[in-house]
Amino acid sequence: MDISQWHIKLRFINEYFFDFNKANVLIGLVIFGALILYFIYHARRGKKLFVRKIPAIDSVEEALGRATELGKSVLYVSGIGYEGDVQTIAAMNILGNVAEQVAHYDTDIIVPCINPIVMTIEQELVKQAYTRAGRPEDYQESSIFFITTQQFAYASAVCGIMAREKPAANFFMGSFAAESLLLAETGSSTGAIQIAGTASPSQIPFFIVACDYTLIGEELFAAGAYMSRDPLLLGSLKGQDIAKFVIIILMIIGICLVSIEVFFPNLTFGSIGQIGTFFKKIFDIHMFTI
Amino acid sequence: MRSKLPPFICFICGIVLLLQFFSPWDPVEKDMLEWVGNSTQIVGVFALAIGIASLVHMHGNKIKRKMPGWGFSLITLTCVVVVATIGLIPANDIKIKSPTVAKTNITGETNLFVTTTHTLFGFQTESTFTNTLLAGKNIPVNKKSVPMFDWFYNYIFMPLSATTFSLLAFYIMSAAYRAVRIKSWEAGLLLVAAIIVLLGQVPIEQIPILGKFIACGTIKDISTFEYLKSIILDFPNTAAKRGIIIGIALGGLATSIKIIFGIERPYMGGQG
Repeated sequence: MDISQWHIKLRFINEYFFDFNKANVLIGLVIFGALILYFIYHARRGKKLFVRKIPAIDSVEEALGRATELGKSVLYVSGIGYEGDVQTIAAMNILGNVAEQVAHYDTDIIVPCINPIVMTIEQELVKQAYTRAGRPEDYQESSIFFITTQQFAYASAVCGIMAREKPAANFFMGSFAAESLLLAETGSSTGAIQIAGTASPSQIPFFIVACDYTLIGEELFAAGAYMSRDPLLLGSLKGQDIAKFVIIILMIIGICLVSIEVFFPNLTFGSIGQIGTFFKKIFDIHMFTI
Repeated sequence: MRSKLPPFICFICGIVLLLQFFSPWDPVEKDMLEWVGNSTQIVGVFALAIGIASLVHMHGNKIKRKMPGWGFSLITLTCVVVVATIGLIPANDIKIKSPTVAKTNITGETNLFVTTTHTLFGFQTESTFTNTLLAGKNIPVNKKSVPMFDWFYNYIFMPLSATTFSLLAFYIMSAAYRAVRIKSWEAGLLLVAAIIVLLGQVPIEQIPILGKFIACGTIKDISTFEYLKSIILDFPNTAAKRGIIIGIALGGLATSIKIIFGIERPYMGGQG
């Protein structure tokens, strides 16, 4: 078979089965997925894994203890995302662990929801958490309730709950938009201890300013595993850290090569400049264009 | 079976949707996504009924037991009933105020703007419909509307939302004050950066008498503060932001992998 026939076959595959423009994404995905599964496998075999401390998560117990001492409730807001949003999923994972501790402390939890599907899942999560804590009879379905699907109407309602009920601890986890500061500032004015976490880059500064502790970006995704101390989940955190380390190394190499290309455009020995260009292409979506 | 079926469905759906991203074939790339979107909408509609049941249950209990603030619960339930009833009123013809204007934009699509008007409770409401269709085709004009629903939306809901949103200006001020209080050298640095960005954002050179003095001249034909602002925003700020975004992307990907492989199961109450 000559080259032209191969080319025709590749074009056919490219047109119907696999977009070669996205090949680098697939390679990255496979490497990253393999790293995570490798560390999960090691964790499953009982290998001890060191995971760095996350101060915001360590403070959860402090916040719940305070709520118990004051005899006040705990408010948990899981953002304004829908059920498929990865931030909402991360917020649900944290809720499971928070609710378990709340059940241990015999404190009340209030979970206002913006999405009815999220509400249904969270009801089940909290119920399971109470069962795990050995207090299934204390679970109240009515404490996880739906308010509205409208962003600012929801923010107003949650602010109202904070002003009336005065919870001792407020948790803001998940996807947030303009209402983040409205919620955090209202909570701050009630004197509650506040722990927030979001992966929405534009809302992180607002939470840092108005809350006592903030989970920044990826820490939101790590929090569920960190709190549960489940070795399988911790294994995935380790894989994530290694992947990040690999990306940092690649970025440093890339910066050096591209800088050489920019500052020494006439440099030809070893084609360092060309290596820099190739490096840039790796991160470009059209790397394998046919 | 009950504990194994959901993770299995999750695994299959996760893998199929993952492969869908890499396939350029239309039935896979577009139709499948559309099917998923429609399915989600159907589930969402049923879930909305559960949500409304939860809302009625919570506020109904408050009213029944005359709990503190039960009057607000009564208002909430009344509004739910009134707005839902209005939404059920059959659509009627509306007057088209301005003639139909069809403009072709640079992508070859025709944007149609139709302004309509109707009077309700002494107020004349106006709403603009936008319809996007391929150029050269007949453009159907949507002549049906529910004026009362529009009235509630435009004159009650929107102003209330805008009012809540506008509170943000005051909250930003108090948050900014708290952020720039000099308690450490980092806070001092933040204050300096904030002042530079603020001054770079406003046309300070237009202030009478002192404006030119405060502006401190120009660098590369733009005011000094504007230049410094762009340096702060384009370099240290963007670098930090990109670092966070890379972490978020990896975290999101790791969470997705854990869910696809059933290591994390929030949809089953966190348990398997």
